[in-house]
Amino acid sequence: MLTATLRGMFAHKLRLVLTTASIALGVAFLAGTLILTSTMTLAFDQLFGKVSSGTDAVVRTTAPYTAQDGVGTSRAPISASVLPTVRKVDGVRAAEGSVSGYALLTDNDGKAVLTKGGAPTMGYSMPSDEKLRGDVGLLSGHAPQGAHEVAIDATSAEQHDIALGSTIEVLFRGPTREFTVVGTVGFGGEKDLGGTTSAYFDVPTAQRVLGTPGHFDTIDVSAEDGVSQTELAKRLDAVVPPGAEAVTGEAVAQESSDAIKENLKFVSVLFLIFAGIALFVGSFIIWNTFTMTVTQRAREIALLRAIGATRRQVLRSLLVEALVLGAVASAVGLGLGLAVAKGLKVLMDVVGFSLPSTSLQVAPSTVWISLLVGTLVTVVAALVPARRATKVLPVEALRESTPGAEKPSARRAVIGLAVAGSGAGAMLWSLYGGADMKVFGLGLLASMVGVMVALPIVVRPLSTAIGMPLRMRGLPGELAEQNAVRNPRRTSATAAALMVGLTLVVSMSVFASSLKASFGDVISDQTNADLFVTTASTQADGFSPSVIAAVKSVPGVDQVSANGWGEARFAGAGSSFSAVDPGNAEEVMNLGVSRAPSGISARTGSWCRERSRTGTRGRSATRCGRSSRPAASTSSTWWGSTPARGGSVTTTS
Amino acid sequence: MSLTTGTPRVMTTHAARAESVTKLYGTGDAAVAALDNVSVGLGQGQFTAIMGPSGSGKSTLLHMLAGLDRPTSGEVYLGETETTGLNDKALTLLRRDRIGFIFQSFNLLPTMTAAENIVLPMRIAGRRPDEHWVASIVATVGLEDRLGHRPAELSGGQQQRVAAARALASRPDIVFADEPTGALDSRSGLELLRFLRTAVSELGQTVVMVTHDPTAASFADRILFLADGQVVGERQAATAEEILDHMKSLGA
Repeated sequence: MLTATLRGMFAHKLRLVLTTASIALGVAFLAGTLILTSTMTLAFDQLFGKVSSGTDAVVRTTAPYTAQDGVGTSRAPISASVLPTVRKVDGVRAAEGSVSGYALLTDNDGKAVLTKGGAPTMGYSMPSDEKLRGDVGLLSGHAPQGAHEVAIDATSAEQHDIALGSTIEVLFRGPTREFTVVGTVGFGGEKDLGGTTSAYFDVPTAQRVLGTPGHFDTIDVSAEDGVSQTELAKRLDAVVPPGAEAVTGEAVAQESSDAIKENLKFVSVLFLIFAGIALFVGSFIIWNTFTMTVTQRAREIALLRAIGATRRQVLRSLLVEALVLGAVASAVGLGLGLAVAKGLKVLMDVVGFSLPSTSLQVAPSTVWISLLVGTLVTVVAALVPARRATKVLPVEALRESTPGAEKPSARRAVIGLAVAGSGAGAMLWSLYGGADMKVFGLGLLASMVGVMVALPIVVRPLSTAIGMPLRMRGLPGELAEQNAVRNPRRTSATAAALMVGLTLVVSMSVFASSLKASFGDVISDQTNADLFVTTASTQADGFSPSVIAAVKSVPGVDQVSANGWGEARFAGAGSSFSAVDPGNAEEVMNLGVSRAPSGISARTGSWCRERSRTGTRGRSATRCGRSSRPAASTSSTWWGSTPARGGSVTTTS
Repeated sequence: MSLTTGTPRVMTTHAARAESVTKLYGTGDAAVAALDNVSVGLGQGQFTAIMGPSGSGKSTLLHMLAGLDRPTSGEVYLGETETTGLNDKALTLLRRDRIGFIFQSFNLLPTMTAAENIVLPMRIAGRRPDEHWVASIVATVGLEDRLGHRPAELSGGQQQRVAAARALASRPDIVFADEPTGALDSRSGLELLRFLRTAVSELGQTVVMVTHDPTAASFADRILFLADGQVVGERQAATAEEILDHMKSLGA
C-alpha cells in the first residue's frame, strides 16, 4: 500500500513540486523567522557580552523606577567620589568610571559619518586598564589620552579614509570639538560594534563631552583572581552609598541584551504572522490539490477498494502521502528558511533596524518546530479530501464514465451562511460592541470559512452573470462558462484560494496605509510646524542650543521652537514627558493646554503615550533614559521620517 | 421465467448464489429495476457465462454476487457466507481474500509493474504470496518476460492477462470477470479466454464471466441468459453459433 502511495506521488511530479512549494514557502517564513530570532538573540548576547567581558561587577545608581516598557530605565549618573571607596574593597583588582553618550564622527571633509538604518553613533570612555576594556581592543595606534585625542572604530576609519593623525570634528550634545585620531578600535575580531560607530576618549574627556564632570554613568570593576562576580558584587554592595548598587557584569550584559531583544520582539511577531498566513494559504493549496487528486484517482481508489483495500487503508495511504509530502516540503522550507532569514536581515537593515552581524543560528527547536508545523498543516489539510476518498465506491472501478459532481446541498448553504453570519456578527460586536480584538480575529476566520462553505451554491448564478459577456463571444465563452458551472465545488475551491490570497494582499496594504495615515495625522494634528529639524542618528540625544540660533538665522524662518522629551514617573506610573519652549510652543504645536502654572504646560494622554509606543521601536529606545538627563534644555522629539526619536526643532515660517 | 433454474435450494456445491435478489435504481416513480427477483446458483469448479443485451442487468448481477454492491432486497451467499449481511469492512476483506476480479478495463495500477500488480491483493492483505503458485500462473498466461513493465508499456491483451494472473494469484474461491475481452482484439481475447478455460479445467478454479460475445460464452460450461433484469434462459456448453441462435430466439 505504501509503495502504491509513493509511486502515485512520483507519477505526478509537477503537481508534487507545486504542492511542495506552497507548504515549503510557509515553512520557509516560519523557519526564517525562528532562525532570525535566535540569531538576533545570540548576536545581542555576544555584543553585550563582548563589551563587558572584562567587567566583573558594575556599580551604578539604583533606578528610581522601572520604565513602563521595562526598557530604557533611567539612572542618574553616579558621583565620582564613589570610585575611591570601590577601589578599597577587598578583591577589586581595578575599577574605573565609565561614561558613554552620543558622539557623531565627521570625516576629513567635515561630513557626518552616518550609520546604516540609523544605528547609534556612540562615544565612550576608554578604560586605562586593558582587562576592563573587554573585547574592545586597539587595532592600530594608541589609546586616547588628554582632551584632544580620540580612537575610532576601524570600520569608520576605513570607509571614510580617516588616517591616524588626522584631525576630525566630533559632534556632541554640547559644543562640537576637534580631535586628533590616535587609534582604531576593533571588537573581538570585528571592526565595528554591530553597525554602530564608536569614538573613544580618555575618562576625563569623556566625562566632559559625553556626560557630567564629576560623575560617571557606571563604575566598572575587575576582580582579582579567585573572586567570583557574585562575591565581588556582594562585597561592593555592602560599601556603596545609599542610592547606588553593585551588580555582576553578566547581569548587566543580560539586561542590555534583553532590553534590545524586547524592543525587537515586534519584528518576530510580525514575521510570525506572515508565516502563519503563508501556511494558511498553503493549507488551502494542499486541500485543493488533494481534492483534485482524489477526484482524478477515483478509479484507482475504486479498483483498490474492489480488490480488497479497506476504507481505513485508503485513508491511511492518502494521509501517508500528505505526511511524506509535508515532511519533504517542510525540510525544503527549512533550507529556504536560511535564505529567508538572510533576506529578512537585509530587509531590517534597509528599514532601519540593523542587527549586529553574526552567522545565522539554527537552533534544534527551529528544526523540529518547522518540520512539525509544516507536516501537521499538510496532514490536517489533506484530512477532508482523504475522508472523501474513502467514500469512493468499489463499483466505480467498473464504470466507464467518471461520476458527475455531487450537487451542492441546501444544508451546506444554511451551515455556510450561518457560520459566515455569526462571524460577521462577531466582527461587528468587536468593532462597535466593545468585545475583545480576539473576537474579531475569530469572527474573521469564521466568516471566511462560512463563505467558503457556502461558495459552491453561488457558483452557478455568479458564473452565469460573469459569463454573460463571454457568451457573446461565441462558443469558447460558452464552454468556459459551462466548465466553471460543471463542478461548483471545484470552482469554489479555486476561488476560495484566490479569495484568501486577495484578502491577504488587501489587508496588508490597508494596514500599511492606515499606519502611514495615522502617523501623518498625528504630526499634522499636533503641530503647525512647516519643517522639523532632526538629528541624523536615532541615537542622538538632541541638538546643541547653538542649533536653535543657527536655524533662527535662516532667512524665511519665523518661529523656532525647541522641544524634548524623557522618561519620568507620573502619579506612580512610568511614563514619558515632553519639554517644550513655553514661549512659542502653542504657535507651532496644537497643544490643548489645560493649565499652565508657573510656566509648566501639562497635557496628559495620547501625546506622551503615543510617543513612547512608537519610541519603543528600534534600538534607540533602550537609550530613552539618556534623554532624561539633567541637561534637558535641548530639544528632542520622536517624530521624523522614521519612527525614531531624534532631536528636532520645529519651525514655522 | 419458466426457464429460471436457480431455484432457491441450498446446494453446498454452489460457489456463490443469489436468492430473490432485486436491485432498484432511483426512487419512487422513477425507480428502475435492474434486477427483478433473480435467484441463481453458480457451481463450484465451473466456468459460467452470464449473457444478455445491454441493460439486461447482467453486470448488476455480477456486482451483487461479487459483493461490490448491495441488493435492494434478497440475499447473496458466497459459499456459506451471507454477504448481504456483512458491513463494509467485512465485505472488503471477503473480496480481498476470497474473490478475484477481472474488469473490462483499468484493472491495473498504472504506477506499478506487472509483477507488483499481480501480488497487489496479497500485499494489501499483508500476506506473502505463494511464489510457486504465482510463478505457475505467470507461466500459464505467458508473461514471464513482461513482469518488470508498467501497464502503459503493455498491450491491451497483456494487461488483461496481468489482470487475470492477479485474479488467480491469491487462489480465490471464485473469479468474477466483467466483459474481460470487451476491449481486446479477437486474438488477444481468445488467448485470455483459453487461459480462463485452463484455470477452470486444469487448476480447478471457479470463474463467472459477464459477456455479450457469443464466442466468449462458448468457452463456458454453462451459460445464463438475462433480459430486463430477469434470467430468461440457460444452456450447457455450446458453440458460438448455437449461442447466437439461442440469443436470436430470445430476442424474437
